[in-house]
Amino acid sequence: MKSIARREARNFLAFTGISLLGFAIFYVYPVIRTFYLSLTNTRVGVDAVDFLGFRNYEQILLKDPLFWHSMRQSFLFSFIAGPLSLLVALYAAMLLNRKVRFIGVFRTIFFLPFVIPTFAVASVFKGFLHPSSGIINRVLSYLGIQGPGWYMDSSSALATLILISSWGFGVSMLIFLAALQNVPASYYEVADLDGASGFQKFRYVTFPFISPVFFFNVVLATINGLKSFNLAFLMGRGLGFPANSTLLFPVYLFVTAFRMPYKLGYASALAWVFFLVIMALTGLNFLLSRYYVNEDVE
Amino acid sequence: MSTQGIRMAVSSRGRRETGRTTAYVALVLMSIVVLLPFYYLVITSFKSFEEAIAEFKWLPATFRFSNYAEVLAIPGFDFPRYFLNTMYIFLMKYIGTMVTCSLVAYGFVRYHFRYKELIFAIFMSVLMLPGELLTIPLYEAFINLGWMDTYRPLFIGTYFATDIFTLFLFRQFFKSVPGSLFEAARIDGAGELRMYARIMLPLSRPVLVTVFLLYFTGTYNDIYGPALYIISEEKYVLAQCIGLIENLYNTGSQDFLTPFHLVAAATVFMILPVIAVFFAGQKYFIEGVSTAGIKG
Repeated sequence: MKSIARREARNFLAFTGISLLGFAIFYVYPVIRTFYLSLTNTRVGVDAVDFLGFRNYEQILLKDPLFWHSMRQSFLFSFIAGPLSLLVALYAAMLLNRKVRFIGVFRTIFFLPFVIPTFAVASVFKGFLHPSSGIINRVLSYLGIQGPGWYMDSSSALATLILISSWGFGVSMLIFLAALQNVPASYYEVADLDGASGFQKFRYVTFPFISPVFFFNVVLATINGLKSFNLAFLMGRGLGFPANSTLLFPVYLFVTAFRMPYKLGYASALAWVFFLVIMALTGLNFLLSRYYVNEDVE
Repeated sequence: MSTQGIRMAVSSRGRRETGRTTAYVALVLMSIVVLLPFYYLVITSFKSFEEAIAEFKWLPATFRFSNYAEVLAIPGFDFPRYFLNTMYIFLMKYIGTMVTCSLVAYGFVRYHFRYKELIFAIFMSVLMLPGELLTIPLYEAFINLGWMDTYRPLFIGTYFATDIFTLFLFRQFFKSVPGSLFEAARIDGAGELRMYARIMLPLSRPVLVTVFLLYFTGTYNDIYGPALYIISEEKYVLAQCIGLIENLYNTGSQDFLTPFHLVAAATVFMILPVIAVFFAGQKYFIEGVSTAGIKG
């Protein structure tokens, strides 16, 4: 018996050993090393390294206006962009759930933006929303409206990022559509017989059924929105253009660590603060989830 | 049923008809909003430079198909090369993940080891880590290894089964394979590796396709990695090369000098492969994302 167990363990390690090694190199070591670096003033190309204790953290929380600014931009971005695109997604899913014709065509159209790589999205929208040569300001001019400067103007650039990212609502729409199709048709028939209005059907039949999926995805999208980097990096020319308005926190961290003067130590402390913020939000969500998940319909 | 009930049922049917019309109107309007950027992209790719930077017109004076040839002829802008660079990284990542994750997942499912569930739970926990927590030490290490301006930092991790999500997919999939298959194979005298190669791999085609799609779009989309490690222009990936065209006429500060017509033509070139892959694998893609989403 013992030899069988030993052979099993040996086979197990033979197959999984590479992942244990990889886990140590690519996850365990970096997390620990990042913490160590966060206690120093390490920079690329500078050999002298001082041990600072927690002074980087002190600097971040007390004396770094860009940290607070970029955190604020990231929170604004994710707390608006996440719910907004999911509301659009839910609305589109409900329209498609009405047994309309050409459902496949509409579904493909709505899903298409999700497939387009972010760098292409950025390059398209730079032209599309260009204040003088873009389409949208042209359309607005037909209505006698002077269009905004969109991504060129620091007062509208963050809102522009939010709108552009909502364009990719198609993937959440598919999730909601699948959830809506699980609502038993008989519930709607009963509601019809009772003379329920469209809104009442939504309020008392649809919503209780899909609210767990909806809120779960809203929270997920919001927390993931804090990690959003690509679009802001591209639209903001890698540095939060214009006037730091698109300097989301991950962009600030990137610039601090990987652009002159390559402050790896300070950026490591930023990364740890960020990690703690995300963990706190995830924990909070875990505590709150029993209030918004409706147990009855699960 | 009372007459009132009948009347209400009838009127509700009428309401449903108008509701459906409203739904069509809303769907068409939404489609226009979603498709408008695509219209801008395609129409701009046929305009002249002057038209592209002037006030927007819905159609160009003449359709300049030559813009597409012009993009490919820009000196120092080697589009096929950036495409091949991107595909190289994609293939290296895909092969690495496929080989190692399937082997490791096989080990997790096939063999008994006292702590294997615990190990896997620890693996899964890193899915929550923000990438920022990991990048800086790896960046340091790759500099010390002299791997700057090479593609190795972008794919080396996949050869150690570090893609926990794919590992999870494989494990879930292998779990559903009945154990009796292995008993039969063992009686036929098949060895461990042979069982993996002959039974597991052919069965896992859905995982191979799903991960292919995820990696293809993922590599296409990756900006962080190339921005960190790729410096020479001839090593650029597609995500980086668009900046070369945007700044083609850039003399410093004037934004209106972006040649939007060439940017648009280049962007069309770049999104065609992803759209082709998407339509080819649409079924897997949509099934994949919707089930993954529901399971949460």
